[in-house]
Amino acid sequence: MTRRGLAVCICAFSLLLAAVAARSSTLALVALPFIAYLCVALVEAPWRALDLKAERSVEVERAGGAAEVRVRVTVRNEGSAVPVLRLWEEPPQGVSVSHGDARRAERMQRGGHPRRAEPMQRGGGLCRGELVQCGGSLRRGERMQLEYSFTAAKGAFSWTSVHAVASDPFRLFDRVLHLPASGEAVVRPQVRRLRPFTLSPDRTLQTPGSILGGRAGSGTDFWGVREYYPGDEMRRLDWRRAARHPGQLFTREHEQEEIADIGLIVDAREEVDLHCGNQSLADVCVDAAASLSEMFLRGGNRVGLVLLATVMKVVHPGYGKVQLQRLLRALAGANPGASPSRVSLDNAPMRMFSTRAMVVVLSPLTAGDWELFPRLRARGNEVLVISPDPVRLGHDGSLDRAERLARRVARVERRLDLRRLTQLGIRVLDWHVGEPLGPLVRRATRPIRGRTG
Amino acid sequence: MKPAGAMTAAAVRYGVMLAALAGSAACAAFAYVSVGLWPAACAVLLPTALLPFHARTRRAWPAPVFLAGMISAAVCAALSNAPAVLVAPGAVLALAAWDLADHDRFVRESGDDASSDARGRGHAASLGGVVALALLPSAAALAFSARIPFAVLLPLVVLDLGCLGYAARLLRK
Repeated sequence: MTRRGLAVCICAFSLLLAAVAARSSTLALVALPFIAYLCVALVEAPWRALDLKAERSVEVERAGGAAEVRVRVTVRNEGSAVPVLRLWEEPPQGVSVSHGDARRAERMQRGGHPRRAEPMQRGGGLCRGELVQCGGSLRRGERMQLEYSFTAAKGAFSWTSVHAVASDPFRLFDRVLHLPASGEAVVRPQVRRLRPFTLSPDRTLQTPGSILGGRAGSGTDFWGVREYYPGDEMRRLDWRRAARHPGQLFTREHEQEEIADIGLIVDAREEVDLHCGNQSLADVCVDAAASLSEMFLRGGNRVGLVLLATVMKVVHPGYGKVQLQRLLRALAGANPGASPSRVSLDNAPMRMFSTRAMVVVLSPLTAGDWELFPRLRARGNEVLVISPDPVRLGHDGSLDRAERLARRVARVERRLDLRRLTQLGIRVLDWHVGEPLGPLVRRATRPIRGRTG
Repeated sequence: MKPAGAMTAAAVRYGVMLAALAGSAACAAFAYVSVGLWPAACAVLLPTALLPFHARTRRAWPAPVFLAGMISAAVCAALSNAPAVLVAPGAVLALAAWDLADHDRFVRESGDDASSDARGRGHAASLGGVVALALLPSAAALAFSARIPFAVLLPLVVLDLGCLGYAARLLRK
């Protein structure tokens, strides 16, 4: 029974009691309409089993930096008429429902199209607080639609059911239903295409690719000349040298071209997520990881991912466009604000990356994150740390003396920490998020003089 | 832009609500006048005259306040031995006005203009049923007088108290 129903009930029975106490027939007659009201509501309430079927359709349309997700839930009545049916739903956390796109419920004839396309309701009462709702009566065979849209820069959203409340015409007796209507939408982070450049990792995978492997093989760049062995291809014979040394044959060698194995560790935990205006450090890391993985995969390399967010997500190393979709899907699910993370950078499963892999860590880094790096170096991995600078995030000139001093101390502390990493032989990119990432990574991954193959 | 049908249904609903409101207030006022309580009649009529203006503001509170006021007025009129032929229809019309105002608010909030015609018809039929159910026994009771024996009255009171207690418990929850 609703609060409305309870109020009517209390009115009716109080009046009846007063009538008996005062022995007044007139008061009893005053109580009669309330009792009749209750009786009619009781008779017309949807007590019987309701046959409501719900379907959900979700469309994602990307426009600029954010994507618009349109959700439409259609409820079809295949049973007896429902005098009043209200549908409501909570939009996913952290997204803003665009009121302008929250459309009115449209009622459709049996198996037909909407009776009338309603104009969009601007600033209307459909979305109240955290809820999107619509209501109406629903006869047998009719359909009702709950439609709304929201914008999100990235995210993985899923729904399992829609809430429905069936009532009598006076809404005195409610029946709450959860109609199964599953749906899913993935808004992948925006990928900025970085200009391709040749990586120079210390170690490569022994699979043909585009990176010079630092040893003789089947490439195009000249590597050296050696004595001829039986079985060498005739086209590789160095005839000029053979002419200078009668009775001897020589073979030209080329440098082997291989692919790199790259492991991305992306830190989107709540602990490291710092917000300043529209910028969030976790989002910056995720977007950078999306762009880097696209660039690495485009170069034919093998890329794997460990994403540290509320929970840890792992994408095993792989190649090509399918792998890119896997990576973007995992990155879309990074939701740092949902709850405190129970994972730390130190828990990242290193075994999924081979010892030949170049590990790229995208993290603002906190005090407890330093233990990972000696372990990585001990395994023999080459490490590149891209650390968005939290100190310089959203820096403006209007700081008082104490704040300026605090920033300075934080900067010095950070510089010392990053120097510790450099001493481990790790390439560190102290990234001010305003700067373009591509050229910085290109500069940071330039070959180090004296590299051994 | 709202569809023309929906506008008409809303306008009709609003008109009927105002008529019920006026009828209810008039019945209560006449009931007081018939027992010579002119100040009470004025006290009923004056705030009621202001209610349509409040209804325009589309607030939630005027309708329940009006209903509570009219119930109090009906109880006072009944205790002042006002004629039942005026008090009972007054209560029926007050209930109808409150229900129509609440229904109007619900339709607006749910944003369901497309189905408001059909729902309005269903709601009107149900409300008509309530009015008929309430008025017919009233008329019958006025035409035929009967005494209810104590043996019937006592279980009725016990049932009544039980229902009231249950409703109060639910409300507290």
